Amino acid sequence: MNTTQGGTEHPLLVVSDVSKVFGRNPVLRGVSFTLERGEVLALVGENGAGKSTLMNIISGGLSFDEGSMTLDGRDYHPDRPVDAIRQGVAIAHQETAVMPDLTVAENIYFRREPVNALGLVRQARMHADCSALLKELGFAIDPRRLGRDLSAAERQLVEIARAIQLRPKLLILDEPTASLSVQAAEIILGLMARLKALGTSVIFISHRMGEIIDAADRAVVLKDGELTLEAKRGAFDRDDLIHAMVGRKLTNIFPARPASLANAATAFELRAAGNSALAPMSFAVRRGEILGISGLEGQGQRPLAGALCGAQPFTAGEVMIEGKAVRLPSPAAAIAAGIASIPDDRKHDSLALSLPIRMNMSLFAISDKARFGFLPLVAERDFGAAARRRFSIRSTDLEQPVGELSGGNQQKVVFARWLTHVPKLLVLYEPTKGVDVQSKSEIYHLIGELVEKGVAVVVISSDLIELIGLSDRILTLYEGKISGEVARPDFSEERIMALAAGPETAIGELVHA
Amino acid sequence: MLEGSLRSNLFLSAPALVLTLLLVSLTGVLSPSFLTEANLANIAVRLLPLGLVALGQAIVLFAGRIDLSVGTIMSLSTAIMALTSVSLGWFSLPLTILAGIACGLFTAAGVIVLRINPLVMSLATAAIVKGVTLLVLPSPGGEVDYALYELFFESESPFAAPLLICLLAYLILALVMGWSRLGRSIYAFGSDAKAAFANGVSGARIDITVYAVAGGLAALAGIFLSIRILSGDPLIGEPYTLDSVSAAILGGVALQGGRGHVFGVLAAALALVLVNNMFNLLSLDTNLQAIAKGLIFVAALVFFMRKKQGEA
Repeated sequence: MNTTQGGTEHPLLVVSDVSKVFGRNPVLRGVSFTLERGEVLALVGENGAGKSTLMNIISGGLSFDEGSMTLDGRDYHPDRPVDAIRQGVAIAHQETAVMPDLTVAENIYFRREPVNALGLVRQARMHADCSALLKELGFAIDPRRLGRDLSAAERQLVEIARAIQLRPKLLILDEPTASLSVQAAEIILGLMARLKALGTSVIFISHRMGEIIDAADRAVVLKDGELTLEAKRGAFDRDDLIHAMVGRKLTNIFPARPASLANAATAFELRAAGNSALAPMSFAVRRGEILGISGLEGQGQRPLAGALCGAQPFTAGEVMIEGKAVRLPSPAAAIAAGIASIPDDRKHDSLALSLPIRMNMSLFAISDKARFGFLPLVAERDFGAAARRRFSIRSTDLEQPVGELSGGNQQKVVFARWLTHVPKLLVLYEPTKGVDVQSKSEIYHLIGELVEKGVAVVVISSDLIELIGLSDRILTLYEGKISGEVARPDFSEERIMALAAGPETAIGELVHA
Repeated sequence: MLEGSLRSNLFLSAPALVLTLLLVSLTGVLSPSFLTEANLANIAVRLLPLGLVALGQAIVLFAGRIDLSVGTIMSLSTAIMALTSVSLGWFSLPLTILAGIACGLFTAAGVIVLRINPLVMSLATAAIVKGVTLLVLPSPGGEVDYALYELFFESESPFAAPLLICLLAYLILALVMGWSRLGRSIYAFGSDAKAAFANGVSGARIDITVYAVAGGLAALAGIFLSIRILSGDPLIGEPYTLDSVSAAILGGVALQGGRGHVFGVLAAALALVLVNNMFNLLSLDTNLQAIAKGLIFVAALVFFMRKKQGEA
């Protein structure tokens, strides 16, 4: 249906040499690729490789610094999301753009509501239309529910429904399946195939190798802002993708793990510990063990990280450190008990971006060197210089504001702050989010050094490659409960994803049978 | 008709309605003069300025903003009326409303162009407007055309012009907020500005709209105030700033934006007028009124904050 004269001469979208710099950090370096009509393109890359930036540029949410784009053969330079929508490009964000105080129907038809002759919205008609649309798409969501009451997976489906309702020429799906069970994800993959048959082009971001290989006509891989692979279906496999994402063999990136930790003493244990967001859960971590926590998005990872560091305390059960019961009512108590915790949002939760590296490192870290409440500048400088060497932080000097560093180097500053004293338990929440591959490997080896010293580590991450490479054991979370456990010899993406999807009975609740 | 977020927003208005009914029965029992026609007409007259200014404040709050300049805009409007209504006649009304809208646009410009925090910018506007008012009318005085008084305030029935004007304003904005795309965009922007932007809402357009509406309604409130006192007063509007926010919050409008309904605000404005009226009928110290109003404001904030946490 898009075969009007002249319309088929050009590819739908051509991206040429697009570059983007945030502050001093290049996030996209000369990226070029083309997308044909009715083609499904998978955009692959690790967290922080520049995928979301690139999609935001194409959908008008961000501007680019260099390069050019054409859509349908014409120069394409959207300044705002509306410009992109007008030209037929729609994006389904990763659950961020659902408005909490509007209903599902009001969200999906936002600014395109059916109106009567007086310009007033026909509420009943709109909600009925929405029911029909959701049914056709195969999503089981009540259109009358408010955005704030939806789960992460439901918000994701609302986003997708809204983008499809725009009837775009190009549909961009930002990790559409990250919060979905395998079964719900299949509905999305089926939808992509239906849209493709109608001549719509689709770009989707995914971390799931299986669905990329099954659904994509073409794969584009980004690594640290550069395009490292562009290949058509059949011309790439799983190993090619991972190699292009990581740039070297996986075994070199992760620290070696011992065959067995059975003799190590238990460092940390939860006994039926829970709170309003977490069902009572029990697990133990041995000294020198790395325990990975996996799960679909929003299944209790954030509350668990918060409870372990004392920010959203456990209200029931027991916490044991080295065999002694402790209480973690506040972050201060958790620190005193020997728990170091690195949050996922370093920009808001752990760094003062406008202050120099020196001051960011010394916060809390060397308070024992304070004299009469003042930190001697010499002590601060010595500490900073030593930490900068040890963690190989790349910066002009210690006085550079942290906000000017790359994501990886920012994260190393956070590590430096927390690791002056060897903790008993280290809790990491998305430790390499927005971090380049080189720094990632350095961070993994830092974690390796710590476990050799006997530190117990809990890694909560959405990156399965990271969890599989790093962990000795992986637990899966589903709706705030532990839904499964896998030991290192049995690790596989499929196994972990199946456990993360929860018990059989819960599967398919989101979608019509 | 009442489908969608409109239903949950109306639900937020319920506490204010209950409170108003309670106050009506309480005052009725405590004071025999409450239910007289003259007193009810008096209540309607006093509801008009507060109702209008609170309506404008509510629209701003729906968008997640706040306007602390509305009281001074009311004062300025009484001054403009007192200085122009005799010479310009009817033209003084649109002139005053335009001046109020201009004040609102000034706040919006600061927010959009200079990227000043909206609350702080509206305080700056308040200071400037107050200065201008005191320059043109240093002390209470001037004269407002008596013909205007006859037109709006002559009737002794409670169901006369003041009540009808107030209800009409609320009806129009209830339609706009509940059933128009503009209203939906304002709620969406207040609910989550980033998400609204991603869906094509222009934040600048929302800021311009809500501050202009608040400025215009504050001016209208000031116009009726000046007609009632037949003169201008450079400081008369001051207490209305807190009262307008108070009525909106008490009416179930979220301070964070995105939720609430104008009918709740009307009920809450009536409740505040009733409290005032009760103090007068029971001949209590007027300073106690100020204290009571402050406490009602805190109670409203606490009540709706609790409720929100309970829901989450």
